Amino acid sequence: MGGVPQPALRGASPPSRPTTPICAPSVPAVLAAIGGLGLFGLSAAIGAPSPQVIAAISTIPVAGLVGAMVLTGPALVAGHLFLRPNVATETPVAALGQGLTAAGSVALGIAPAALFLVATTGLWPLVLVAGFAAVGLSCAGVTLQMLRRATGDSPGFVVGWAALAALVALRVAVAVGQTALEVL
Amino acid sequence: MNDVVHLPALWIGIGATYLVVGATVAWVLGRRGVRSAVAVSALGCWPLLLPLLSAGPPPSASGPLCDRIDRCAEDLRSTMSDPRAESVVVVEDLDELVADLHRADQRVGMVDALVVDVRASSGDAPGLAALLAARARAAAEVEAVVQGMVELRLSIGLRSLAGNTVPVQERLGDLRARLGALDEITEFDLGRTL
Amino acid sequence: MDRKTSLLDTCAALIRDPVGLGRDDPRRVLHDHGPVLLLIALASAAIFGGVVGTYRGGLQLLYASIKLPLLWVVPVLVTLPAVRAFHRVCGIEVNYGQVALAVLVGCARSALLLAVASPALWLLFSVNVDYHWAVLVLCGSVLASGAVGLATVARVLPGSGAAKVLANALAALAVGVVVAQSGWVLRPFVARPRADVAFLRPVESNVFASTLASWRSARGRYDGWDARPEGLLATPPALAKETP
Repeated sequence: MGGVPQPALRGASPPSRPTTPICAPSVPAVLAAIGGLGLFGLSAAIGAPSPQVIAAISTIPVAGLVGAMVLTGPALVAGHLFLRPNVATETPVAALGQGLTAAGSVALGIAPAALFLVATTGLWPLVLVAGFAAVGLSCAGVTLQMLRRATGDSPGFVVGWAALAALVALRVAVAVGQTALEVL
Repeated sequence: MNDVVHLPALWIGIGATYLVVGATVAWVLGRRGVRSAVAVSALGCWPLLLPLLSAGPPPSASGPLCDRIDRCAEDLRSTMSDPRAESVVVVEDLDELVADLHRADQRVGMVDALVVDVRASSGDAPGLAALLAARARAAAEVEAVVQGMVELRLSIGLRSLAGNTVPVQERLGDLRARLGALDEITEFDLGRTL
Repeated sequence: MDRKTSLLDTCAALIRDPVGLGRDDPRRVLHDHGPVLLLIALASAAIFGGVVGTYRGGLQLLYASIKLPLLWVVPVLVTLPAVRAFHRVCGIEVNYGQVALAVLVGCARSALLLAVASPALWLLFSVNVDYHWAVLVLCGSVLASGAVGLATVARVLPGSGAAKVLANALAALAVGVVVAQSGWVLRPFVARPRADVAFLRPVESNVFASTLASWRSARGRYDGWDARPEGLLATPPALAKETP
């Protein structure tokens, strides 16, 4: 306490940044997030030309985001267990949960604006794509931020995981869109 | 199939839903005793006033005794302005007393809102009992000063009959001093609690 | 905050210290000042609308006075949840009450400034300025006032640093898009002096396509512009044919 600073030991690793434990979101919060994604999908897809297409298109945000998390989440957890022995096992899962709830709250927030634009323009595909991009970026941004806080730094593999998750989300979204076009 | 989606009924439905939600919010706010202007505003602009629906009565800058203070002050003013009262009380003195009373009453109201919030979030937190006791003392003092204003009004009547023997001006000063002492008591309570 | 709030007090607070309004408990301020702030926003926008309507005169005065308040309030109501979501995702903890109050204060302040500046607009319109210039001046006024409103929202809401800049930039983008499209749907505000007066034009195309077409025209590329009915509000082609 207020003493003379000790010289750093030779060969010792530099002090890591302070870390903050992450709390996993509650089940109602996750369900609300999925509901928000569904509501945004419905708001944007309501401009589509037929009820069947609306039904198919409106699942794109939920399917894309949750699908990408389910498919790439294990890679994130395994990577952390392998590369970060000092990080708690549940940390990456909690970070993913926080990312999902953030994405859900953004989706819920932009849903009224999406509905307004779809109601007054024919730009529903653009609204859907732009909104989905905003939601996906929010999810990735919050997940990375949470992991950075929990681990003290941002390992390269997490950024790589985010890129993989984005590609998987796009592929799932395109698959759902193709199904909708086949229905049409 | 195209026309099924583009039927104006969909838009009418959205508009009707908006208005029904607005009417419901206005009704709930009205039942909670908010001002009618707030309830009417909620009819059209309910998304802006949704926060007022959260638990507890809408917090107001006024305290629990606000209306009574205003009524007593009004009565006292009308008595003082009566030309037969021969009052020597300076109106500014009364205004300052009423302002002090409102300030003390607002603090009591703030504590009430705080207690509701704390109870909703963490139940009977430690220290709540001390706060409630201090709140009760402060409210009692405010009430006593309001009662003193009623007595002052009677004194003005007595003065008009008995001449200048009733010290109305001094009594008004006593009431202000009593309110001033309330701050010291609260400070003392706070020091003891902490 | 005084218990009895007059219109003049609230106007003074809006101009002098809008941040001060946001310092108190948002629920209390919304309860005590909310209706007055709404009244200021709607009445100021209506005054500005009336001045805009003087360009054409007649019934357009009334129409513009009704539509300008809608242009001010509808985007606010539509984008309120988005503003909150953007702030929270940027790590700024704000509750719904804070955002609602900040947006209401920003909306009322920008409308009040427009109303105060409207005599200058009236002066310009009264000397028979060209129609295109009149539209440009109107757009410029709305842009400037909107910028003041958004800056006020940013000042009233908490936060600092890059997170605050990003959150407010995203909020400005969302509000800007919705305001632009609302203006397109609610047009015409400035009607040509010899044109027929109409409350609303049919819902067709969108503001972005229109801006793009204008940009092309300005560069000498007159490709033509097919303004077809679009969106759920548009009259379906089948019904449009039946309507005389």
